[in-house]
Amino acid sequence: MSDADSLSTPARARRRRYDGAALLPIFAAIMLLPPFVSLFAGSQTLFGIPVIVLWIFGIWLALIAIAARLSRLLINAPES
Amino acid sequence: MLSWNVIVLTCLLYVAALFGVAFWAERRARAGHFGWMRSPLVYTLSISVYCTAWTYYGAVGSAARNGLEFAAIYLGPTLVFIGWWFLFRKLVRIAREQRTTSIADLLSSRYGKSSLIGVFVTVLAVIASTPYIALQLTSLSLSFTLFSDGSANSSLTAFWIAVGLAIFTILFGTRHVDANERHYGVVTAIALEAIVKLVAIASVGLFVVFGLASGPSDIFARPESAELLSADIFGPRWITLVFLSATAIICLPRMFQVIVVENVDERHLATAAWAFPMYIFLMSLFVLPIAIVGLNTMPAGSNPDLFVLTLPLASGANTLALVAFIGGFSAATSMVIVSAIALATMMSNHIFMPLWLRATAGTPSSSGDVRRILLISRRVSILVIMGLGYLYYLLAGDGGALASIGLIAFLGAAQFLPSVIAGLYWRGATRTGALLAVGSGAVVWAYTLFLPSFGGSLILSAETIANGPFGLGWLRPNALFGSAISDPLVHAVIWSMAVNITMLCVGSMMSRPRALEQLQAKIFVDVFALSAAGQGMSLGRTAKSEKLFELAQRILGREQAGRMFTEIARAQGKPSGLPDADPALTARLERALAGALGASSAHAMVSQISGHGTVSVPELIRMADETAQIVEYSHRIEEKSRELEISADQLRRANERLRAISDQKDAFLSQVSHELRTPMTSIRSFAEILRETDQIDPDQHQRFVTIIHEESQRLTRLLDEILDLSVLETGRTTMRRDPLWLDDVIRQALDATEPLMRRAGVQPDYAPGAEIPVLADRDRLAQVFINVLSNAVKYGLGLPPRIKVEAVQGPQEVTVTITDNGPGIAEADADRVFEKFSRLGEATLAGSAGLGLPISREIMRNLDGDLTLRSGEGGACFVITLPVVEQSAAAE
Repeated sequence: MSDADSLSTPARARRRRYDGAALLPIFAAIMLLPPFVSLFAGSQTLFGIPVIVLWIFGIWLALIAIAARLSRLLINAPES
Repeated sequence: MLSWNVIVLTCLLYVAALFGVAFWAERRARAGHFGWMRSPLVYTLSISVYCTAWTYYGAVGSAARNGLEFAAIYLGPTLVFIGWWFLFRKLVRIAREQRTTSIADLLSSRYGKSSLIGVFVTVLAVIASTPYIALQLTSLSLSFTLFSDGSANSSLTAFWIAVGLAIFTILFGTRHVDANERHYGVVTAIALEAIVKLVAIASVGLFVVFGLASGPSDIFARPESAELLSADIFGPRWITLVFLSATAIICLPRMFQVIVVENVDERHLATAAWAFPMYIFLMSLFVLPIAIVGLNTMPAGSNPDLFVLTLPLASGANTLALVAFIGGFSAATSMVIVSAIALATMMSNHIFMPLWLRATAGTPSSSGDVRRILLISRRVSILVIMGLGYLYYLLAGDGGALASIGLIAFLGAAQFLPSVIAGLYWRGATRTGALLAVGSGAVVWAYTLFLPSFGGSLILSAETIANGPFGLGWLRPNALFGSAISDPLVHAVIWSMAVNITMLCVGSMMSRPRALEQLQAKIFVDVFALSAAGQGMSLGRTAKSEKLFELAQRILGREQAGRMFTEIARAQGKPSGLPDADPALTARLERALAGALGASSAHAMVSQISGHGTVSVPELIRMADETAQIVEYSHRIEEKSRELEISADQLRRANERLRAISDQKDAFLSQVSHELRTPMTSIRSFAEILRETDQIDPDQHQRFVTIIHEESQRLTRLLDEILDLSVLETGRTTMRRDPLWLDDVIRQALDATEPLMRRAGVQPDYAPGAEIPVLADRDRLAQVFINVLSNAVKYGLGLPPRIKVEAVQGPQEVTVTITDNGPGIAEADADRVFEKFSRLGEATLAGSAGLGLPISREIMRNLDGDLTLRSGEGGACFVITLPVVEQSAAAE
């Protein structure tokens, strides 16, 4: 069953969720650590709020939303 | 301004409410009505114990100094929680299966239930946490003094707070000893406090953003905002803070307690994975606005750590200030309570209980009720921890050094991280490696960060901190080996982690794990595979059921032990009585005890009555993972095939030898029959002539009879020779060993062959030298000489024919050479001379079947000598050797 082609659709979806669970913290770390985060550390503002504040809190919120969705998927799928 | 009395009264009411909630929750749980107490929401809220007074008040202070840097302390836990599927899920599963009671217990259990690791981790955790607890007392007394008119004694306030917290913790943290260390009362109270904290800071935040300022854009337009946000904070320190806070959420004893130990359902993690990040997101959302407005409106020099309180107070919002105060009070008390429970469990399980066990060793059954001892040791531990915290608070005072204590504690706890991660994912990590890692990491942490934080008042003097010990500049605590890292925190993190991880790897590689360690490693690393397969693993040991039951009763209580044993007996198919004692029962009991005592103490107690046990061979095979099994298997196959190859080779050679022997035998048989056939044929034909011819001339008759007689004589001789050879070859004959003079024997042989030689016209050339004694069978030795001489006469005829005989005594052997002057024997035929029936060329003389030389050689070999053919100059040269004999022996 390790062959990707022989996986049925739910199994493939489950594997994608596992991959997502592994990639999400890595992706988050890249977004929130230098050098990436330094790109937004200027003095520009958007709607009167500094971009860096929007970036950090925005990413934070997005991560929470993705994690919520992913967790629901992971916990509802029967364990392989 | 709020009066002191109002503050104290509010606090007391709030504490009373907490006691009430905890008591009520505890009673419901006792009665089995768990309901929402086991909900993911309560679980998530209890994790908020991460947000202490340090983060509640200090985050604003940090933001007022370094802008967004405070967010790093929250982003680390966020990263760990959204990756819950990999780390926390495994931790929680292991903790549930192993009944883990603390992080010290986890490490001790993983590394072979080692009590030494438990002690190491406990001591380090207490050292790192004591200042942290003191910090909470400091912030509480600070906030209290803010409301007092100066008459209140801050250390007295702190003292009463400490006493109150100790009472609460003892009441609800050590109510009973259970097989799983869960405190519903405490967790419910903590969850309530979490809500209070969040509501308080959100209220202050909303008040600041929309009451004092007119929306977020107004706040960020103030000059302080640009100033705070302009600093470049996204450097090594940012990464370090994210890393440390991520570590802290795993390794801090109180975080481990609420996330792992108090977890009742793995699925709750899925909710906490997003809900806890959401909680800390909300907690930090208003930090920056409060800091900016505080800096903007408060008079210069006011403490930014207290903006949460002072901003509402300054604008006259007294009720809000009270709420903010209660929020800070919640943050501080919840942290102290959970820390005290976690540390007390560790202290009691890893320090007091092992000591008590050692003191009562040998009298396991007479030592009474362990439960009472256990509870007392927990309570004493709580008092000790509170006492230490208060003592530290008194000594360190309200100094500014306390501000960095949070991060110092984080790094102290981070020393457990490599061993925890390696314990979960690397089966090769050993006890020695973990001990070295935690020990060395702790030393580096203490040297580079913890001790210098006292500014020269503890162990390290100010002089040492500035210039290194004994003036050794390369050992300066803030610049080890001259490393130029300006931030002491970053410096300490890099060095302590590098040393820690290196020691873990090196120590694990260089040491050999014991059987129990290997078993635990397998159970930890492959926890999902094992629990999916439903296979428990246990040491092969057992004891009498009665003894195990007695032990269970003493620790779990009569009722619970009875329930557990009945359940197991049912599962074994026994309707009544105690279950059969097997390794599985022993292991299960040990796990249940571990929930109360910790893995190492439980192991020690069960081992006292059951022996230490070993890992059985099938378990060992299961422990070796598949790869190792395959490698082992193929290794074995390789060895087998090598052995097979060797034996096949031996068989092939044996077969060849047999075939050669068989060929020889065939050739021998065919030659024998051929040799027998020739005389038989002539005998038969002459006999036929005599029978069928009537008138035969008497002369002819006489001649025919003579031929028949001669041929039958030849036949007899041939058969005699064959028989002789066979006897000689098999070595069944025993030669006589008479002392002889060699000269006599040679003369006898020459005399015997004289007629033959004269007929051939050969002149033998023999000059007797000194007398040479030999030990031999006279007739047999003579036979050999005769054979060789007649052979020389037959084949070695030169012109004029000569035969030379020489006898020489050498140091090792006596040599007789018989040389002719004939054509000699070709090199290729040298071996064939001694083969049976081989007559070189086809010249056959009557009277010999070609067995003379083979027989002669066999005789010589039986006499411990040899007969060889020396290839060389001119004719054939046969060499007869015999062993040398002592002169005296021959003379007898």
